[in-house]
Amino acid sequence: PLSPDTVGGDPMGLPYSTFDHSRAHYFRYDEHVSLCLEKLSSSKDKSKAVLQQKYVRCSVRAQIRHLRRVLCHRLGLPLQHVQILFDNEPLPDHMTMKQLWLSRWFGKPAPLLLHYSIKDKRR
Amino acid sequence: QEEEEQEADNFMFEFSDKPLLPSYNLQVSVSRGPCNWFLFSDVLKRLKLSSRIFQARFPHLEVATLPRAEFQRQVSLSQVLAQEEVPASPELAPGTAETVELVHYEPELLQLLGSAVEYQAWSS
Repeated sequence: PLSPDTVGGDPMGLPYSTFDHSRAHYFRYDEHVSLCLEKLSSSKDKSKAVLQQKYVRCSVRAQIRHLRRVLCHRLGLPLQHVQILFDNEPLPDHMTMKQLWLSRWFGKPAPLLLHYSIKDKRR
Repeated sequence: QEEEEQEADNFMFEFSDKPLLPSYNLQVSVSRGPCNWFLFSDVLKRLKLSSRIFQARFPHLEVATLPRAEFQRQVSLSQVLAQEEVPASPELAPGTAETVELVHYEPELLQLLGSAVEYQAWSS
């Protein structure tokens, strides 16, 4: 005996569950990337701020600017003072995690290694 | 106010001092869009809990089952998962489970796992 939910057939043979399709595009349902954020220390860097929780996961649609903002928030620093780099190259604010992953890390295992640098306030 | 934060479409960032358990973007049912899951066995191992105790203590955290072949098919389509990270099919020994158990990726579970969660609006 088929219940109405299984009429038409679920090719995976999986149970019916309620899902709000009006929210299916939400960022929380996006695929994730895993990152590791290491501090790039320079002799000019007087700041002692270091991210204790350096393993980060977020949506593939998040951009470098979003990552910079959460990083600054966690470090208690103003936005202009933190830069995010890959391989010593500062990353553009509008680059998404998916663009970053496909252009710099394709086929490599997680997490993607990023660096951040903190500018001295007096410069 | 907390509800508003939950309902709004914000980016969620997870922070941890330990390497993160892998999460998988999967469609577990045709009546539902893809979303994120952990392997239940990974979570139980990290929390040092049995499945029975986990489900008794956190009955509201959603656990789902997916045929193993379907799990592997979906995971192999990801562009951001390296193939060596796709959990290998166990030897086809008699008695091997043909399904994988999953637990839904959500803020409460992340906190249980020791991660911190931060939100960031797209427009910020």
